[in-house]
Amino acid sequence: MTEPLLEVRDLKVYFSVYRGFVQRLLGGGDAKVHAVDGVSFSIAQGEVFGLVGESGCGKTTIAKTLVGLVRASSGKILFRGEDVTRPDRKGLFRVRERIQLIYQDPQAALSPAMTVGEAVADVLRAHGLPTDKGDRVHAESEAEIRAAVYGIFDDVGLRPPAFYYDKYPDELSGGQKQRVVAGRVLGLRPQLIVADEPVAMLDMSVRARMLEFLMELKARHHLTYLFITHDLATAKFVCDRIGIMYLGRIVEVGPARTIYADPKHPYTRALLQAIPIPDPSRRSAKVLPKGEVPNAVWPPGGCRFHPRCPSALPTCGWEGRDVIALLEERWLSIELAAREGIAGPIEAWEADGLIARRDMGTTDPHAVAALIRTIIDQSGGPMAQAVRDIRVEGTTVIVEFRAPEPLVPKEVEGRVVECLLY
Amino acid sequence: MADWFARGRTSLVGRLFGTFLRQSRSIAGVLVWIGIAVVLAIIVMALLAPFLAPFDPNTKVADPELPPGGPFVMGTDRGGQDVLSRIIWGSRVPLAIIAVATTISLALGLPLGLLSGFAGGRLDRAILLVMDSIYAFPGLLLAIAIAAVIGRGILNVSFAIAVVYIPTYFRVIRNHVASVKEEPFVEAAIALGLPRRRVIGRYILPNVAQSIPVIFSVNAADAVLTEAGLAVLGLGLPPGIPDWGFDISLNWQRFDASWWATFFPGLFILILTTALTFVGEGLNDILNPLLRRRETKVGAEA
Ligand SMILES: Nc1ncnc2c1ncn2[C@@H]1O[C@H](COP(=O)(O)OP(=O)(O)OP(=O)(O)O)[C@@H](O)[C@H]1O
Ligand code: SF4
Ligand SMILES: [Mg+2]
Repeated sequence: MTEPLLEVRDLKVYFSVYRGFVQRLLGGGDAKVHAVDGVSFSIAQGEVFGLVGESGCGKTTIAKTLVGLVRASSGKILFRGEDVTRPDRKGLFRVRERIQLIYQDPQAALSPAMTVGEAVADVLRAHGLPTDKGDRVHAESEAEIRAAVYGIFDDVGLRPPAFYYDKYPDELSGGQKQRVVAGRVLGLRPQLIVADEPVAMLDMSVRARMLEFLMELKARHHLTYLFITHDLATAKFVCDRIGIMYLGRIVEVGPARTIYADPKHPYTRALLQAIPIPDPSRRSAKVLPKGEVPNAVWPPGGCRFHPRCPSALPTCGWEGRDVIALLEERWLSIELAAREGIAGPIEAWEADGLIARRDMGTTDPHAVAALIRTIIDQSGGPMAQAVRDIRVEGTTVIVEFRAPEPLVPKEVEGRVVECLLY
Repeated sequence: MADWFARGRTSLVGRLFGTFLRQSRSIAGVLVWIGIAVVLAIIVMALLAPFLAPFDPNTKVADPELPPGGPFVMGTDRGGQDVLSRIIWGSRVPLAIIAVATTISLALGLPLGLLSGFAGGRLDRAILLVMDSIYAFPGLLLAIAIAAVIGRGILNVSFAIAVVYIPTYFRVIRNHVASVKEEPFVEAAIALGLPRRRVIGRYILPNVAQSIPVIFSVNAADAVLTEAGLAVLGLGLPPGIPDWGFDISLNWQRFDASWWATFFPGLFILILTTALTFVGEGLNDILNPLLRRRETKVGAEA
């Protein structure tokens, strides 16, 4: 295999959330959002690689890290084999000539106080005009820049260019604005374009046309795309290969056709079942697995999908807080809450990794331990089999789980899957 | 014409002016027009003072404290000088002080606000602290203190007033920049590799510029009052220069005997500040909806 255009190795991006002085003194340090937590993928020259996942799984963060808007916490980004993870100022300037972003919302990506012609011209002034030889020269005159902008407008289908040059973004349609954004990026002659949900904000009626347009550009300029979307139907239309993301990790990656034909990861399966039917009246017919997406500050241990996974095994990462979640769910029913009152309230329970515990004070801890055992057994499912021990230490009831099996990405029928089923 | 300015290519002034012209028939627009007309009239009066004033403002031309009437339309003051002539000549002082003081405040407040808002972090907090401590002083008191130290004269008074208003420009610009900075188009400009100075100058400044004429007019109105206040306290200009505020300080103790010598200068101060306030408030209504409209648009799409 030839060297990939872009290679991302074990990329991690954590954001610190400031928790306030007092909380930090009380311990626990600063909380971190694990926005991207160990992601690896590579993109070959000329390919369209899709990143697909629900909101908040870290897609935009990856995009921003690639163009140096966000700093990688660890891991490596290689562009044509060259390390561009943490470039210096000059390096960053060069990186941005080769990797560029197309934003989700073209309206927001353009300054409302600048004509769209100027928006493109400004980039050419800063970076110079690309020549056929692949280098850049500084423009001799404003007329030369204007001519170059006309060329770009013509290329992206804003014709006649002179008509569009002096328009403000407010005066163009969403599709036209996205063409301006694409043109502004093309002025740099980038090799890799990261398109972050480029059609999500556009009118339904122009989406297909816009996608076609992006593909035309790709063919004409020998581009490579990293195409980000939460919409599997769109990804199917444009991507050669896709990576399915869940909570900061890629759970399945492989050729788009293989994955669509026969998804292996339970999350991919769930997503594919949730694809909206192309019928406007039934657009919101989503049947994603039950439960919310857990937050990325303390992502679930083991496999991150295990609390929602319909096929979860006892070894998938069950831990203390899953018991608490189970109790919480049960006690939504007033009847159960009353019957199991001695084990409550929920706030008295505390999770610590594989352990959930509660100090019973003067209440009999053995009775509560027995109750919890019954509840967990009744719930059946993989969680029950993952419990190692329910015991009493002094006045404290402790539920402890077995350690999960380590997750290792595996080759499964032409794609890589991160799941213990394989 | 409105359209010609709106298309006014990329010039910032042209764009703002275009926005104004397109809405100039609204109530706010009419207020602005009235304000501008009055200010222009006073400027013309100041420029043509030698031709308009019937008498020399600094010589005794008649008996003191003659009531309005005859050749002395507004009467004479306690020094026997013609009140009208002193008012005509005296318009030069507030106008000069507005020009100098607001230029100084803008020249310092604007760049500091841009820097502070864009940089954020520690630098921002440091500049904010200094500005807030200036702002915490009552304006007139601060101007009095400065004027008392550096002495009289147009430049000194302007400077004293300018210091008071730097934090106003600074705060408005800084807050505006801090919010515009979060807009994706600023991030996009950075991602495109544009130099920082260019991002501030071409992407942020034009989007906060609509605040400037508004603060300018409001501050100008305030500056006139502050100058008059300093003059009344004897901290204004050296005697001999006709000045509305100074004339009030000269005559107000004799209000019972010759109200006109105090009333007319006061009336003109009121007219000028009201006109400037009309301009400021009207522009605020017209130019700042630019911002509001953007917000509702984004909200509607989301
Ligand atoms: N600057 C930041 N500071 C703190 N947390 C952040 C920051 N940027 C992103 N996050 C968090 O990181 C996680 C990933 O966000 P990201 O924007 O990458 O998701 P996404 O997959 O692009 O989602 P969407 O589909 O909504 O665009 C989210 O939990 C988000 O709240
Ligand atoms: S490892 Fe596989 S089976 Fe286990 S929870 Fe995760 S997705 Fe489900
Ligand atoms: Mg996103």
